[in-house]
Amino acid sequence: MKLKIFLLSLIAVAVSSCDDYFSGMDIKNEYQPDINTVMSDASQYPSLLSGICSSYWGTLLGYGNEAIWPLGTNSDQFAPGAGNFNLKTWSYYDGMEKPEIDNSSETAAFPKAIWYDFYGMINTLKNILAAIENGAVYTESNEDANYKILSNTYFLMGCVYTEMALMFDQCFIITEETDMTSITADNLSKAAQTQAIALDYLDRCIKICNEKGNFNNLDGLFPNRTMATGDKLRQLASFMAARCLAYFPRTKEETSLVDWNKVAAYASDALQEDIIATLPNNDYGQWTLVQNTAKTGGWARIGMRILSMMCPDDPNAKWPLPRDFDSSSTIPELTSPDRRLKTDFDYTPEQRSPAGTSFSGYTNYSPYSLNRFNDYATDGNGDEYLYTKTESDLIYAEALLNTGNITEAVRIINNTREGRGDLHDITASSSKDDAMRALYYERFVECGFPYPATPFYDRRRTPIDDFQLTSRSFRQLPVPYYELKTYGLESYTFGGEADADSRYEF
Amino acid sequence: MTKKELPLKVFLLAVAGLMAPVAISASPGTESAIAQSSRENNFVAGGIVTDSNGDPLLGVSVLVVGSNAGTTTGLDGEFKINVKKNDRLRFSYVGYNTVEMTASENMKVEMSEDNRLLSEVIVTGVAKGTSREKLAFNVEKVQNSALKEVTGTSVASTLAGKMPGIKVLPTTGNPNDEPIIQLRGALSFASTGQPLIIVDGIVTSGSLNDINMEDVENIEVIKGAAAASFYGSKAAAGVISITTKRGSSLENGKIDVTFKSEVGTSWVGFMPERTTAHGHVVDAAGNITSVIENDGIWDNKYDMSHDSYDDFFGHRLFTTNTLGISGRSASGDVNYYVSIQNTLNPGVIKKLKGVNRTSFRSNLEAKLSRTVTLTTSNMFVRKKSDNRNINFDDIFYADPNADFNAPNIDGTPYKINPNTVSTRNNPNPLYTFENSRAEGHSYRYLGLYALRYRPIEWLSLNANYSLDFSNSYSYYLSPKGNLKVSSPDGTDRELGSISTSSWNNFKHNLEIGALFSKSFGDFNTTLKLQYLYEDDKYKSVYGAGSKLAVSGMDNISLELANPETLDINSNGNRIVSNSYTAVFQGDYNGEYMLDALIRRDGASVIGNDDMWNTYYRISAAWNIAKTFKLPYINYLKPRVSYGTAGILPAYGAKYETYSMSAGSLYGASQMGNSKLKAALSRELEIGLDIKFLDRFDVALTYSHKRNTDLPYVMAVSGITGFSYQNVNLGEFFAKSYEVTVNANILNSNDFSWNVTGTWDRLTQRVGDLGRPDFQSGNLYINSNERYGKLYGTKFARSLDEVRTHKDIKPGQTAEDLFTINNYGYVVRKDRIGTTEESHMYVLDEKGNNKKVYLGNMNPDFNLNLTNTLFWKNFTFYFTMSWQQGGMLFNNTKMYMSFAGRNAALWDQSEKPWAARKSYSYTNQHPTESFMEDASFLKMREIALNYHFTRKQFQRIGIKFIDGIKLGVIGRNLFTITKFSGPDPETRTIESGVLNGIETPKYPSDIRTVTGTITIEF
Repeated sequence: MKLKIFLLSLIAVAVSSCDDYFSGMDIKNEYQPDINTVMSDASQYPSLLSGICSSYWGTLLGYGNEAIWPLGTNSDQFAPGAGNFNLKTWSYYDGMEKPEIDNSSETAAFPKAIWYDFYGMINTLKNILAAIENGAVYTESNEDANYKILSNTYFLMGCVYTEMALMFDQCFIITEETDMTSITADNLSKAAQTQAIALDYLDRCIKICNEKGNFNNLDGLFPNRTMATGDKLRQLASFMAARCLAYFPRTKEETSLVDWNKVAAYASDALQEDIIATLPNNDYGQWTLVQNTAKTGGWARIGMRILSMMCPDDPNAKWPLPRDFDSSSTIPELTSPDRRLKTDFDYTPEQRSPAGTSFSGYTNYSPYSLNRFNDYATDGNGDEYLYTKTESDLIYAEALLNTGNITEAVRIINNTREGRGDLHDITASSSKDDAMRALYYERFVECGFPYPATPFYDRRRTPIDDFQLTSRSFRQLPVPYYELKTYGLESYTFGGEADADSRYEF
Repeated sequence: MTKKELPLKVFLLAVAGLMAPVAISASPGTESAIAQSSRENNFVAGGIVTDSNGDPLLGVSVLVVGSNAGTTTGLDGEFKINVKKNDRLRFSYVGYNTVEMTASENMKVEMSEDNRLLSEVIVTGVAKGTSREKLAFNVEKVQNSALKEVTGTSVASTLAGKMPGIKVLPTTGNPNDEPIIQLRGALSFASTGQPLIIVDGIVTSGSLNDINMEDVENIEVIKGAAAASFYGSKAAAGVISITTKRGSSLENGKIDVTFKSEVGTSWVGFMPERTTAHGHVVDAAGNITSVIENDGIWDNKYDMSHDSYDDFFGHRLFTTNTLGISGRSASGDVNYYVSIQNTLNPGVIKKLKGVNRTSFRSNLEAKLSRTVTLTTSNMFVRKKSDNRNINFDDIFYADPNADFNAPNIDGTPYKINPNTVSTRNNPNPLYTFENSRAEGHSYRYLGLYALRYRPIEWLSLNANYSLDFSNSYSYYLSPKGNLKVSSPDGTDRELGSISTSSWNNFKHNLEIGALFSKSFGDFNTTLKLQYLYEDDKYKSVYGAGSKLAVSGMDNISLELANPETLDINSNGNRIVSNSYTAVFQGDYNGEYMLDALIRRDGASVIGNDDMWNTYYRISAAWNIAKTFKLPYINYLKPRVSYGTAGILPAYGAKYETYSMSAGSLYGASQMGNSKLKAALSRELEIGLDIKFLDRFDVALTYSHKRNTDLPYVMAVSGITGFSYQNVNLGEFFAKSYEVTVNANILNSNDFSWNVTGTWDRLTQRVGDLGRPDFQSGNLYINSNERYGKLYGTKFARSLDEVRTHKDIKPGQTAEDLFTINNYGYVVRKDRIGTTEESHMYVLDEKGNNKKVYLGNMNPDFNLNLTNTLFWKNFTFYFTMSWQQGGMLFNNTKMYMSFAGRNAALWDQSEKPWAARKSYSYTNQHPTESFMEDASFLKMREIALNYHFTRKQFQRIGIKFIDGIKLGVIGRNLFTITKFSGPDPETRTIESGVLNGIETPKYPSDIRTVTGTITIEF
């Protein structure tokens, strides 16, 4: 009997302690939620939007995106010392026959990675908009605050589609009304339609901001509180819309077709501050091309085309560098009337090529490193730039130039040209062409380093032939091969012989 | 034999002994003649039978050859038997080689253990322990001599070279790291499935390195689905089953205590040759500057009176001490084994402490009643590891004569910037070691509790519960204030960083089974039914930060870090599986064998649509030598087996996921797959086991595997918002031929020589991929082609190979621009003999560098040879391995070449002037220059042992010592190879694929010489 009682007691203890000790096979993933879990709770939307802001930042600046860095070398803004990310493929030297983008590999990161990043963001934003359309309500202090979610979602949707419109020749347009199961190859839309949808979303954001006034925005969006209020959000949206219009042209001929009045309208109410992440900040610290032009040990440098532009009277400021440039010597320190040669750049001949032996980039290497926008490069502390107020102002100046207000345009141009460069060659009486040349000069020196796509957009659209992308350079990106294959479409590409232009053979 | 059995045996022997006179008395006509003959020729032979250790053997069968007369040895190994003059006696005992000797009055018979294949009992993958003779499929077993003579440092190293069809590939030489084990090749073109590890019947989830090899009784290995179906959805990559000691073979009332100590030294065997020449300007004071000479030729010699390798690598003390106690109660109802072992393996790098592991084991088997037996296994392991590490570039790229021991400017040891011409700002690795802390502490408990109830002779019911619990904690501290290589005077110092992580894994299994075992005449049958529940949970947390508040290395708290820099994450998973198995084994008089198995498996990691799979096995064998009398053939058994097994998807592969980090939900990452399946392996195995001339065992096995539904991470359309999805696709074939020959070449009282040779050849082929062909590094994975093809760039040797060069303008030919230089390579005519001379690459039709086929990474064949020679009390043992073929990309050499450090490509100092080339020529890196034949001949283990027996001690009056074994063991003492990297056997996994590459890392060619002493009392 004793034994039976003992055994029964044992079984009772065992059974009562088995809760969660043994389990069925329906195991929930507790560390990575699925979409239903995420979207079913509107209080999570600010976190989602915060994640999108961080993803957007990382996509544009992060080292992982091999689609962005080639834009920086393709536009001769940066010169690579090593072959990382195939950057040397796009860096021009004398007599180079630039290749076309190899859009035949389903795994190549260029241009696939950024396409995936953008659609990852678009789908989350689309899901938020669809959930709100289906009745989800985000509340603050028990009051409906959906306008905050909507305005930020529209803004970010506009940001992403802006960048896609600027980069890719075609896109699938996914909105809150898209049935994802019915998408076919016919849904591919030209870049102009992408631009239109981007502007539509940005306008919707601006509309809400105008209606709601200077509201306190959600926390955790762009760093340094640069989206902290309704006004700041509106200015960002206006800046983005101005970019979307101004940077869209693929050629100088298309630039003349831009509605500059519309650009001016947006740009007049655009950035009032730089968009910066002050590091350390785990979500925003990116290993950027800018960081890699740091003074010590950087393997990317200031493109010789920039130095040649800034040092017009120095015969050593060669661009393009000859292919047989002496690999055992380097270019001597240059002279420039522009004060910024000494303030923004460092002459670092000790890093001459081949600095060691693996740097075989002597055909396009330069002895100048960046001494601006990279104060976080040494130890991960400091400011990491995405967009600057100067960039916003110069878009406005370009719109003014193109709409006849040269005086105001020159004033804006000279903010940096005189203020930082100590160059006094442009006045209100200068010609539009001279002012335009000065404006693009400023754009390359002031705006071309933080985000490497900016000089790419500038070089393809600039009306100044001397500043144009070199012949055979790609001017936009094709839909990645993997996506084309998925929808049964033939691969195509840009660059190489198809983009040869005798006007731009330097 | 228990004491209770002894009277019975004595009675039977007495009866048997009486039978002879009774029989004789039944033949009265011959009585007087026999009596006369007996008086002349009969005598009582006798003596003692011992094992090779001098221990008496109980129950040895002693037969008069050519008659039915016989007896068995008693408790003290002694026997007596009536024989005639010149009669020969045959001594036989299970597990020992049979001995025949002429009968005499004071015989001393020493029996050696039988290591031959067919006498072994197999317990893995079968319903119950089964002699290999009755097995219808191949199960390998590491031979006792291998375990005894050179106890491996780990299970993996023990398996290397011991059987055909197994590859043990070290990933690094770091004592913390585990090798990759492949059984009959890869599971797939896109993953490296590892074998299922079973310890004392427990399906485990932890590290193989935790197993104390001194505890191991035997290791069995199943190499494919034809045998592994018993383990279902986890066993397609094979099974390694380890059985530990539990004193079950001891005599009643006996306690054996064994103390073993092994002490020796380890050192790095091979280091890649660095150039001892440079191309830098030497100033008037004789100092090497950072300026490269105009000729760019690496022909100025370093002063090699100092070698930086010597500062970094050294001889390190390796020790292992083990105390083991095994015993059996006087009644024979309880037997046990307990042990404690400490191993200190510091590796081969100075200043690093390596791994210090202490393991405890307690195994018990107790008959609780006539019908109930309790079995327990308990292992506890504590491991402390020195996790300080460096980028091995810091040693491979360093100046060959850099002085790592020189002081810094501030007087602290280990100059942070020891290199004069090194180009990559590599810090002094010794400075890194001296000025950082990194440790790992891990604890593991592995326990089994099994009850077996045998109510009737033919039925046994069992319930087993097992636990496998691991906990690990590690931290890394690089303190604030460390010198920077870019600022050796200390003006700019490191801000410091810290990280800490912790994880635990809890796996528990519950098994309930029934074993029916009954003979119907000559027909022996066994049926096993089993239910198994497995539950595996893992959780981890990690935190890291930088910009530390204080300097020094006393504090390892994360609180030191600036809160803004903190990065914290956690992770976890749980895998639950259930299985129901029925396995039938039957044989008719040991002549015809049949085995059939079916298993139904369900697992939580499989897609929700159908979590269950069915696996099966059908096997048959026929011992022809039992059916037909065959001259010289003792045994001839063709066998055939066909079975299926699986590999489960990784945890999380089926889920739709959103990624999260630092308080934000980032976005969709993985598309869910409710149809995700386990990979399926189908294997046909055909074999022939032969035993002939009483000395030779041969096993021939052919296996053909077809693996389908392979796990693959597939990119999905970007517009879905997801990046990828885990899917099943493709097929992969592996065909292997295996031969094992075990020969007892010589066997006499004083001398015995056993040889085991194994040979295997494996070919793997990708079937229909189910997706476009793709590459993983240099490895090209193409549908319907042989697996393992490596491609890469190559220097042109013919002008035909550069005709599409882009420098050739319209109207020009290759001959106008290019020529062949004095090394036979294509170069530009206008640069030949200048500092700008460089190779041209073989080009494709578009003028781009062409990827050409450079060889297959898989070897043509593998051959292993194990020899064991016994002479008196000496044992000489060695295992050698020969791998023929197999290309390996020498990444270490390429990286060294990038840095101007590789001797073969850069050093021009010994060449005549006309043959010297500038760095434009030497600084080129086509794949072909680093793709090398990884054939090798390796001396894996060699040992010489001397065994002092109990008798020897008794002679000098020491009675409490049963034996002492002294030995010298060498491990991996030499490798003969043309491969110029650190180890032709090492491999690297990239993106889950073993793709024929080695990388700069802790070198794995480590040599060890140790002395051992084993005391038994």
